[in-house]
Amino acid sequence: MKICSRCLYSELHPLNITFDEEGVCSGCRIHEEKDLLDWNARFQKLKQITENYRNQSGNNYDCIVPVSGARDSYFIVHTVKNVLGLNPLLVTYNKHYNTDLGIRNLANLRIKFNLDIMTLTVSPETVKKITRGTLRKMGSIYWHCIAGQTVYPVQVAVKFKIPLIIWGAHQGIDQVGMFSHLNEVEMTRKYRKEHDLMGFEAEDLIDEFDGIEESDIVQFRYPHDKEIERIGVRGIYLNNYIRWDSKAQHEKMIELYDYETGEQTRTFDTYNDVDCFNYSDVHDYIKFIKHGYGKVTDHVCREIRLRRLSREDGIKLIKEYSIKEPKNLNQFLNWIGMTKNGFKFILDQHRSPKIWFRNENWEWELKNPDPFQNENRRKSEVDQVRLALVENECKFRHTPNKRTDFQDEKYILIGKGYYQ
Amino acid sequence: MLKKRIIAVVIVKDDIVVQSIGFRKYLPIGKPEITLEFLTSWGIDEIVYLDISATKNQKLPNYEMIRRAAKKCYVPLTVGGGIRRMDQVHELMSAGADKVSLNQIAWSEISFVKEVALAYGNQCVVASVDVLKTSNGYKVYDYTKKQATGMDPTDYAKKLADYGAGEIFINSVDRDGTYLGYDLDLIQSVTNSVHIPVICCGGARNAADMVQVFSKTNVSAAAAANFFHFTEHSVNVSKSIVYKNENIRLETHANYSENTFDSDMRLTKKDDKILEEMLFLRIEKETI
Repeated sequence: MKICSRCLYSELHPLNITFDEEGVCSGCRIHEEKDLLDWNARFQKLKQITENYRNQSGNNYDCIVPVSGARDSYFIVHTVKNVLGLNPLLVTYNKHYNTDLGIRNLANLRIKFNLDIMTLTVSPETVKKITRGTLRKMGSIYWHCIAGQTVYPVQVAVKFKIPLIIWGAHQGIDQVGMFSHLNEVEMTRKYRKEHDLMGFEAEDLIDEFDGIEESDIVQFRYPHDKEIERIGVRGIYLNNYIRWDSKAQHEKMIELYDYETGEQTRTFDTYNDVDCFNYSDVHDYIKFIKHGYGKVTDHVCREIRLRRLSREDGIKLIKEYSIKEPKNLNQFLNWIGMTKNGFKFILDQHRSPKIWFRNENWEWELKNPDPFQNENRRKSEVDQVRLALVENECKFRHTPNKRTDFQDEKYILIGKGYYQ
Repeated sequence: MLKKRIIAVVIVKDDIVVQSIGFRKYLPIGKPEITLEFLTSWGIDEIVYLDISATKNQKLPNYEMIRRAAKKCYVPLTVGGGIRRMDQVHELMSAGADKVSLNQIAWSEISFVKEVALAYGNQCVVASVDVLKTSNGYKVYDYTKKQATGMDPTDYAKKLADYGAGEIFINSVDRDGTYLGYDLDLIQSVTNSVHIPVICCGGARNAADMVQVFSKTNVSAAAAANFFHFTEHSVNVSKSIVYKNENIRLETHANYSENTFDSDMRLTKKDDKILEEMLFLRIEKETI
């Protein structure tokens, strides 16, 4: 298995990845642009684009900003409202797996920035039905979250004639270097279908076997081409114009707006995805089963590229976290109404044969239990492309829990938004 | 008069679609079938599918992948990469290709061009020529050896046409992925030297480059690869811009005829008044 000689992504990355003559991956090469581009000029470009979208009549918002409350939400809203001076409409898809911390962070975001927010909460019975279908079809419990997050902003844009949507980081650029920052890639339905939705559009879920009918997927349906064209909908990504550093950005948001951090099951990052019981837990465990790697690898690679983590420490972290069992599996099984055996059976259908095999006891075993076994032999190749560290430690902060008396153990569908 | 064409080039390396920069740097995009599905729905005129790793890795074309991708493609599909024998051409045609693109094999064995042309007709043969600008002028480039040959591209194009090529696909190596625009001198010199259609490729940044190449040269089709991956409805948008100057097909329901664009050919906002009026307007979906 080919592993980048700088970061720790392997050729199995589900977004695809390429390697150059030095064995360095496309993600690392594009990441080098972060230290080469003139980010002041890039930011001016962003200003120029967004200035054009300022509403002149006073009857509408300037743009739409999709938020979850976690994962860069604060930084994006801060940039759009307080740096660019725009008047955004926040939109959020209710992912159902909300933690109390997530509800708190979202309420705090709404109040601190004093903005309007629209929420889409699909009926839990429909969401469960869809999730049973996506589990069977693609082994995903997160399809509805990603489908909802990526479609609801576009639906609102079309409905209320707000043509500009502002996103944070484009994952394809940040992880695998799908595009140069200079390509100024915009939101496309194509990327959404292929990478966010794993090739399944909402319509593809309609299935008698799963009991999913047309009426179940209405909320996940993408507006048609003519609507996009008439309104002139465009989605831009801030990381093409701002040197993206998720860790530093979150730390700034902790200082400025009291963003709350949280411990996560399967990664050392305490900033991203703390709003969800499943993201860094059941969902990420499934990712490990399917692709042989988890979110911790994404976080390690990100920190290596930003020169805060050495390759060797990164390997230790990946080994520690990627095999961790999920803590919230029972909670998920209760919610969806499935036994552990049933869940395991379904997951086994989605194990990648590139990674797993059945041993003589008919148990699943990793073909390559230690993907980093060749590290010693690769030393000279690795040292050749190694980045010098700029920070000696890679520490993630832990803020005090704002509601210590509360036992956070159930999905919160609609929360009051505790605020102090 | 024949309409000019807008062609998307889908570059496939090790079974994934990539962006190519300078014939040496490759960025991963995704699956061929998804790329072809969307290019088709965005109203592209033709698609050229080039597997750039097949010949280099001495592999056969990946017929299964091409068959899967071709199912999503409703426009003429040219397939190239790894073709060395006639039975491969047969197999590609049955997998859904409408034409084949011959590059390396045409260079090493020009009689093969004639052989395919005799079997399937000249219109089926797209002769692909990579060209490098050297200090001695334009020279045909051999990508397997990564160096320029001594051959002049206009002489070579003439020869290919004589052997039965139906179209010449001219690709500028030094403009690949640079976004500096097409190499107009090169393209004009090739179109002047042959009587068959010429497709130009290499260097396009956006539709403005296509407008320019159509106005300055006699090329019959402008092709681009990378920038079609960058924005929503990239083909519809590009065609709506080229349509203002050139006789091309623009048949998508979403045709961007009422939108305006900035100097990068990206969408600009419609007037607030127009947007407000749209609040009470029903936007009809295209029904076929």
